[in-house]
Amino acid sequence: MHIVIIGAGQVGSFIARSLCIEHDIIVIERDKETAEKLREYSDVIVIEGNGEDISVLKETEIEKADILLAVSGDDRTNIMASFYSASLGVPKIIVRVRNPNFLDYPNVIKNTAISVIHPWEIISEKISSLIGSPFAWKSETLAMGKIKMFKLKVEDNTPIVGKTLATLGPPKAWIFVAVSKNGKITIPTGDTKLESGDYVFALGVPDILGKLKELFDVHEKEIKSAVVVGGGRLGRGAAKLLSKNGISTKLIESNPERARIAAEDLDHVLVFKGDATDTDTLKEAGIESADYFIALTGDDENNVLSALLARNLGAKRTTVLYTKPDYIDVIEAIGVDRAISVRLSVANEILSLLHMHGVAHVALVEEGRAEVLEFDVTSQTKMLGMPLSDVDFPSGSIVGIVLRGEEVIIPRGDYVAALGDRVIIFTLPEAVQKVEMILGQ
Amino acid sequence: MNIQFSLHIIGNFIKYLGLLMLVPAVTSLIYDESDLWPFLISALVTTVFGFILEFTTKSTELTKEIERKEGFLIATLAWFAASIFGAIPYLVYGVFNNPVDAWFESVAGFTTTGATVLTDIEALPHGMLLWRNFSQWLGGMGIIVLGIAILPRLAVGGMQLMGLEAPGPTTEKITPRIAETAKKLWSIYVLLSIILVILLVFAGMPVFDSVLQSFSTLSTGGFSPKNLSVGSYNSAIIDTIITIFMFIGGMSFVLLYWSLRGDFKRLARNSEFKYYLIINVVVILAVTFELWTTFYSNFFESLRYGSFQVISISTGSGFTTTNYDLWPSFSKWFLLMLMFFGGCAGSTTGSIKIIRIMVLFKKGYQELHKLIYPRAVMPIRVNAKPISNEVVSSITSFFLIYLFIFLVSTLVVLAVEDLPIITAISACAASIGNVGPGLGQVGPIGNYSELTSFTKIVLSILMITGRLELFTILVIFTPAFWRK
Repeated sequence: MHIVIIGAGQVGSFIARSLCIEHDIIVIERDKETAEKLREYSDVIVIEGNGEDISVLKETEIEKADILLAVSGDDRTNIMASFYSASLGVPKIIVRVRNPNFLDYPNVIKNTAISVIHPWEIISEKISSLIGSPFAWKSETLAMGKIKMFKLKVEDNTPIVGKTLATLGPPKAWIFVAVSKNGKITIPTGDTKLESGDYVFALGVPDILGKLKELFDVHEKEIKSAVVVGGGRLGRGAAKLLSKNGISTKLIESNPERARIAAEDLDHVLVFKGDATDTDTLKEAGIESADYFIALTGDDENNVLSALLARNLGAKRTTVLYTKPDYIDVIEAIGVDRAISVRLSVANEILSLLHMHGVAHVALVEEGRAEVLEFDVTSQTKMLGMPLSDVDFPSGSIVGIVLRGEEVIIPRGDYVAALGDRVIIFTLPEAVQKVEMILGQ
Repeated sequence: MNIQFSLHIIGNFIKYLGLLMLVPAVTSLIYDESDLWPFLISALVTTVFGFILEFTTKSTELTKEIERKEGFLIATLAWFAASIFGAIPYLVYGVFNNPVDAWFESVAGFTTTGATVLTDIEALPHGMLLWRNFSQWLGGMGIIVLGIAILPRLAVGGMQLMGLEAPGPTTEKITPRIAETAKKLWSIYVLLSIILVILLVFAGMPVFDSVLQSFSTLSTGGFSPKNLSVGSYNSAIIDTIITIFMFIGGMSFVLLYWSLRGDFKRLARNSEFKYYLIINVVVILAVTFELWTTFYSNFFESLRYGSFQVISISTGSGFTTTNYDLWPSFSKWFLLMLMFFGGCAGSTTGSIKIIRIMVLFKKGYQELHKLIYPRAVMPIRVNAKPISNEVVSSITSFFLIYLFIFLVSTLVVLAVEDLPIITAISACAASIGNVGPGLGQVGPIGNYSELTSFTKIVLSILMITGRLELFTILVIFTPAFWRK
């Protein structure tokens, strides 16, 4: 497919990289150095120029494009480019709009090809799902919400430590598709032993989480008090949600003006004006007895450092928001419990929008260290009518779950793909190409 | 940098190189000649070696991308491997007894230099002749480009690899995916080669010769199945056809691709092509004029030989239709100067390339202009687009290093050989520029066979260095490359 991407920032370059093996991708980037970097590391064409410039857009043969992704840093550029390509009849246009004041613009021309991505909305959804189910370290929604993937931690002193997957019994309504030991993700076998500190990835229907809790013997302590850092839209949204659930919530914001706005906006939340990397401020906000700490400023370093401080001062659980993908290792190493990646969240949302347009849906896991592929069995699929045991899946992949209508199937060797089945496959990057060849799409 | 990984890729590459040796084996079978077994043995040895190398270097890390440093190593090793294994058929058949001679001939083939150490070319069987020219054809568009087009393994990280091999300061893509671009480049290369074969057959050249001539013309190689090169056919039509196709071989294949698809705007806008055209036309007219007034009696003869030799040398082909060594000195020195020009970036030619010459001229002009208007801001433009200072400085250093290597190698050759200066100069210029024949002893009627083995090795290394545009090989000899 011919895909034009405007903006080679975090999201644009990430998507370009993950799609370039299969598709023809042309990226427009204004900054010379960023363009050069993308050119070096990805198999795409990068045009230096402004995405709202029609002559630049023409150079990408936008009129022949199947998809336009307008994800540059400038909302106006994104909107203008989407209007221009909509007028040319580009069948799928995804526009990222950051400023809420511009949110309604892309819909002005009432073109059904345009989908608007609003990062703030996506991230607040992530935050609320994390607050809603604190047991899962991460959750990913698949198959239009019918299936979820949970990342769970094997804690010390739980009954499953030291057991192999085979002894946990055959998968019924869920399946463990991957195990992460010391940051290395592998596809487990029946002999894989779970050790304390490991993470497992489980696929299943959304309400399977309760059963997994039993298995992992988790007794969730109720959250009574929480501290939120950052008085921006995200921070305020999280604070609102927490206080609505009857949790005593405090918010820290360093900018006086923003602190004032937050205080006016939030009725039952105590707002502090101060620096969250400052011990006194944190203590004043009652961090020592806080059950939950979440840092949502726009500054990665600030979020990570304040979470580290909060942990040391006694906060039970910490969550941070981060933008720079390279930080994931650091964040896990210093013991921050949960991290929300802005880039990954937005990229996954875009990739899931592309799915409706015929690209096999890919959800990226752990900054792209693994992928979940979701596809529908059509008459062109090579494995149609073949028992699974006869399909030569590479070792770095596993067929996780199949949806047949409303029925959820955990496929075994005797599973035969039928028309209309939605198959969800967990795969490591090195196996992706082979899996896609088997799917024959 | 993972050396084992680089060797693994090279092993894979050598394996396929062995299979390519079956092409001349088919010729031997058709003509029922004695070089069939040498080719089969060489193919077997090469493929088995490739297999062993690939197998012994197998590691868990093989799915990774090719890193920067590995790219340099892979490109260099690929070219050395191609030329070394490509020499095996010559040795097994006994064309040469000295391995250095065989390697020289093989290097001159793959690098499209076209210098030869053979004294009687016509004595060779058809298969050997085909292998010489086939290696030029492979090396012309590039063995790595071929690898990227065919082996999916190389497509990941292929952009840098292709940039290391493709002539010119920057590499342009036709399509977003590099493997697709490589396939398209190779397909127009094949298409043009077929067209040339048909034209030559119609012009009266034997079919076998036409195929060989086509191999070495579009690759601007210069090997000919005849002792007297193109001159042996003594046909004005053949000369003209080959002149045109050598010129085409010196054009950017990306531009040729767009032109063949009917998009001539890109060609018309391309300033490098304009310079290429103008330089060649001006030199042809100057040489023709001098030949007409002092050497040949009629204008058309002067134009025919003048244009053929000018295009042949400026594109680094090195075919000859006449002994230009006898020409008056003005024309002769013009030819020597042209050895430093080459064709366009993205073509099959060697040497410095028109785009670099063009930027250097513009830079010089800019400096002069600055003396008059010290405060003026004057970007250097290529194709109407300003280019960055980094590109200009990289081109300047390329030029300096090119001249430096040329000078040093000339001195080395003069120190060990008892040669006239003009022979040494032109031999080095013709080797690093991938031209082929030079002047004097290595001129149109002479060859490189009289030189010592040491000089042949120096010249062979010059050819590979020139083909990979200096930096790729030189970087491997810097301590920083090996530092962990």
